[in-house]
Amino acid sequence: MATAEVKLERLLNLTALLVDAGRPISAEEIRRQVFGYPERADSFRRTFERDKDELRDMGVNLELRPLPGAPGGVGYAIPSAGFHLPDPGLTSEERMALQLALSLVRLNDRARPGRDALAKLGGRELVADRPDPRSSPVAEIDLTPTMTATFGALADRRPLRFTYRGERREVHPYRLDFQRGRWYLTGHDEVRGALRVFRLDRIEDDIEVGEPAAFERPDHVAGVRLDPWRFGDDPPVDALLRVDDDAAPVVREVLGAAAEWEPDADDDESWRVRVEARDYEAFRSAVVSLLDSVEVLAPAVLRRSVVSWLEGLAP
Amino acid sequence: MSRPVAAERAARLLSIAPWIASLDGPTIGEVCTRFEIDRDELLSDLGVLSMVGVPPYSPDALVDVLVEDDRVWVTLGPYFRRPMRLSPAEGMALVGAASILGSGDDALARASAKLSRVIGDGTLADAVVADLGDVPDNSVQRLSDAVSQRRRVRLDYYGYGSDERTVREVDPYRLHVADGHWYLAGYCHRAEAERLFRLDRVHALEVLDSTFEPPEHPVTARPFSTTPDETVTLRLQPDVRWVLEGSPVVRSAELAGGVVEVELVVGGRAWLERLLLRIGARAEIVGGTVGGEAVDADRYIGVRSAAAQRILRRYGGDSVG
Repeated sequence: MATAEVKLERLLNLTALLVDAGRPISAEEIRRQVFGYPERADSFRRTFERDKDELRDMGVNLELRPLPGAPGGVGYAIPSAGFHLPDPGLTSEERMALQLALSLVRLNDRARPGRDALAKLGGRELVADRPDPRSSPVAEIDLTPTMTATFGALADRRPLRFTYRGERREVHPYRLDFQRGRWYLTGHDEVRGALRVFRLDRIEDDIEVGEPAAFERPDHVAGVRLDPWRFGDDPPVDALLRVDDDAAPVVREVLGAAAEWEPDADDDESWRVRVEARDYEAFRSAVVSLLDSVEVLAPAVLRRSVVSWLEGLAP
Repeated sequence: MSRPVAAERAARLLSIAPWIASLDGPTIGEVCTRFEIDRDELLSDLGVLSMVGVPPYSPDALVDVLVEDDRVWVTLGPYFRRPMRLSPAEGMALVGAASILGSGDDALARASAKLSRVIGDGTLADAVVADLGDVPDNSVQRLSDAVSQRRRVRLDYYGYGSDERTVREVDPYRLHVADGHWYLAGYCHRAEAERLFRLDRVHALEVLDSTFEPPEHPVTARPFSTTPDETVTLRLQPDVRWVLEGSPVVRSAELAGGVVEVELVVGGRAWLERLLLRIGARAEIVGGTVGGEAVDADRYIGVRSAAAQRILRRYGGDSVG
């Protein structure tokens, strides 16, 4: 049998042995039981070390456990709970939707995780007609090692240690948001003792992932809010604005999801919008960028701020 | 194509074997199509699999593989009866793709929720969220269908760079996400040129009955702009350097004191007004170009002051005094 086949058989037998055993197995017992290992101790060691690396490359949850009586006092285990994928119970329609979604998103990862993910879910459904190439892929995820490590930590509730803006941080990851084309991590900063938001592309490469189930994730974690006027030291005020319907799409985007919209009772083509502001300068800046589609009705302090700013720019 | 290494073959086999085992003799062809594997490789891997098992490796302790009449049967011990868990990269690929494309697609949303329960320790729930803007209901699906069916659409659209709401008939060529927003590239019959439309600026959309022939050439639509070939040069104070992000920069140069001189492509008169009013005196207007010809700063100061006056008219007689 070719050496490639010998190795493949050995890796599969090693995996089967450890998963089936349900208890730690010593290296010595592995050498005796699994076909394909060299007899000599040093050759065995080298081959076994490479096999362990291969198992980890495969994504196998190979663990070291104390094993009294074993040489070195350790044994190897592959706990079933971390090895077997529970059946998610996907319908054929749901699997097709996932397959289509993966075909539409470019993943920027040489390893082809989309294909491997689908294989674990039962492979590609046979499609009658191929999707129009003009419409695929339509989006992109840059699956960097940082993003992968962050997602893995999020999924297992593991703490993260990373360098951000030159400072080492320790964070319990709670949520990943994609907004305005960037990925953001919201988590509990253990040193500052408060929630913080981090831009994923600013997290440096030397990320460390801790042990699983290290914390409880709160039930409701607010998403990233990129509206600067909602955070600040000015006394919070409820701004009331009149907004032209024509410009509503852009105004909605600028004012964000927390704004409350009501049709203007006096004018079919206007809205009345309420939104809280805590940074008057940032709020004014956002309002003037909306040109004459928006008028600040109240409070007087914000209305005056807009008027005086504009008067400074009119001749 | 080079042969995959042992670890890849082993991992792949651990996905294929349970699937075969869960059915009654799928064809070799179906296995190859589903798992994107060559016939020869599959047969070779199945051959290896038939030698795999647990001690004492007696016939009943080995994986049972039978290939007959182009069909395959596999009997596995419990150790290989389920595929391996999704890796973090695989999990993120699935959940990330579903979050970006998921709005309005019930099957995808349900799939994502089910996957969340089997990824990690099952507590993922709604922890990965994509916000691609407020688009009209079902617009992504409807436009995607219009693109593949080659049907013209009518868009009630508000242009950011023009501050104008217009209704346009467009031949939709392509839908895609860029900078976290949905864009439709297509031929605009009103502009008589290719244009890019951001979906979260669409008031309403209607798919029409008339069809069109898509172009052979690749689509090179530029964002909707009513002032082509215009640039403006500004000197930005450090606190308004954010202008550099998200604006098309022709060139930039660092000056003393954290000031940066930057030349930007103008995306329309309203685009210019918005920018100049926001930054106010925090930027010095140096000048600009129109059609490649240099233009004095006065032009832009005039644009800014006219816009300020126009908005002030909404505030009636209000004056700070």
